[in-house]
Amino acid sequence: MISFPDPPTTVKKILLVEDNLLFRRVVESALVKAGYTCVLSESASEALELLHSETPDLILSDYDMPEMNGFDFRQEVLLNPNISDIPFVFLTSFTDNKLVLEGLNMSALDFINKETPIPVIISKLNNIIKTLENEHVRSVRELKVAAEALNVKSIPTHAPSVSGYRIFYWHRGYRGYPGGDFIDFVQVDSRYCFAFLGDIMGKKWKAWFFTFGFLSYIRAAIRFCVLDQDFNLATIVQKINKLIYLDESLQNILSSLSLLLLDTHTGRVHYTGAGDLPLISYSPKTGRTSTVQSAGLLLGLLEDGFYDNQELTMQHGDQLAIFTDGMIDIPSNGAKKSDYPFFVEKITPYLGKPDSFELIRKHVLDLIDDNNQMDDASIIFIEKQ
Amino acid sequence: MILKVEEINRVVQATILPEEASLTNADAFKEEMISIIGRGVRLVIVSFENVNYIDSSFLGSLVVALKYAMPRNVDIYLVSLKPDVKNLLTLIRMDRVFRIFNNYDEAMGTLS
Repeated sequence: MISFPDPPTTVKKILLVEDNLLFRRVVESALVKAGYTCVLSESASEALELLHSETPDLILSDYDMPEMNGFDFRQEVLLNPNISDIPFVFLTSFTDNKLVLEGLNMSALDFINKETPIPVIISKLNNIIKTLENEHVRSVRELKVAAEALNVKSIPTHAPSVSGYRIFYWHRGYRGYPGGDFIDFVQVDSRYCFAFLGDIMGKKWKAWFFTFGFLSYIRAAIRFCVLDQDFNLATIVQKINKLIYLDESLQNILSSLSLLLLDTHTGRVHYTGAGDLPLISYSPKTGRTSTVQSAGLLLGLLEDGFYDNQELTMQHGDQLAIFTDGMIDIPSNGAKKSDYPFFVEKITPYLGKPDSFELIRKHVLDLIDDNNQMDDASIIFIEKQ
Repeated sequence: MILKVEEINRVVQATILPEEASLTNADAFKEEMISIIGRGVRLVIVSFENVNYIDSSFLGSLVVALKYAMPRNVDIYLVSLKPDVKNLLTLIRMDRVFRIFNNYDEAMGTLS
């Protein structure tokens, strides 16, 4: 029996474009056996159609096909900026040197002869994908280092210590990218501390870039309101909303926001939200988990965002959590779904324990990895002492 | 194409084709919506009948389309949302900015 080499760490999707049914089936079964997901097209035009909705990690294409050949297909792919970056490999029985050169000149990564034994083909693909992955990891790392050098952080390095409260937070960027989620704390004085998190709609670099604009506005609005001795959260968020609404450079960018104000004198927590998911709160006295929904709209959506004020009186042991929508996205039978009640159900067994957040981290958060994460995920967890 | 489009009397029925409305098709969706809105229609009814999952990138595009539509006096209605998608939209108060109907017929019934 021939054993296949190790596949890359995460499941990769390969689009196979091949008009010969038998060969298509043979390669598909080898790829699936080697741990890949396979999408099949029997013609170049079908593949182009499919690429509107699918984003494979690699395209493996035959050269000799009726209607549109592999080279014309490659040209079409290169012309579409949405898909032109997808690694492309030719797999063909045409091995004429001139043809191979022409293929490679179209930014194809390899030109594999169909006569090559299947395990060797799989090894070659594994190598290509691993090399690209390593390259990618290196680039992300370099950008992160650059961002850190510029001291632009969308996630703090530690939680503040606030008398009478225990504060925890957790964040994981989508597939390790810095993304559109942000978390921050603003400690005003010994009495008040703001805690907030939000999600810029979008993923990866584009969203990450805008987080700093949003964060600056939010921090500034909080500071200005504090200077005016105005601690009304609805007013603060409306100010942030208006700034963002009127800022032309942020015209097409929207963000959710969950904003908390912890008052150490009264033990109350004030809450308002902008298009965020409802807050979860737990009281050991009643043993009940409940949710609090605010009324406000996403930041930057309308000039008036209908923000409201909610107040939670926290007793000893009471806990609450705010989080972004990446937290409630779950893979389900190969598809994806968003399920808020499911997330509430998942964390509920760990609420009301002396080390609730550690348990949630261990049993829920640490299980989120590249294979099941679908968006940036962030949570702030607060417990009254 | 992300949308299957039918237009009658400046009312557009636009059905989202992919099951996953996400980062991969959010930009294309936004562009298609903006080109529909830009050609002078009065209402775009977006059907989610195929959509099982929507992520924040796609929600962002939907909202950007709305922001583009409002000053042009174009309405956007959402129809045929599956329960998970509808729950998410309601949880984040999108039902306050979009009119949501069970299906095309119900949405069309509001026009007289």
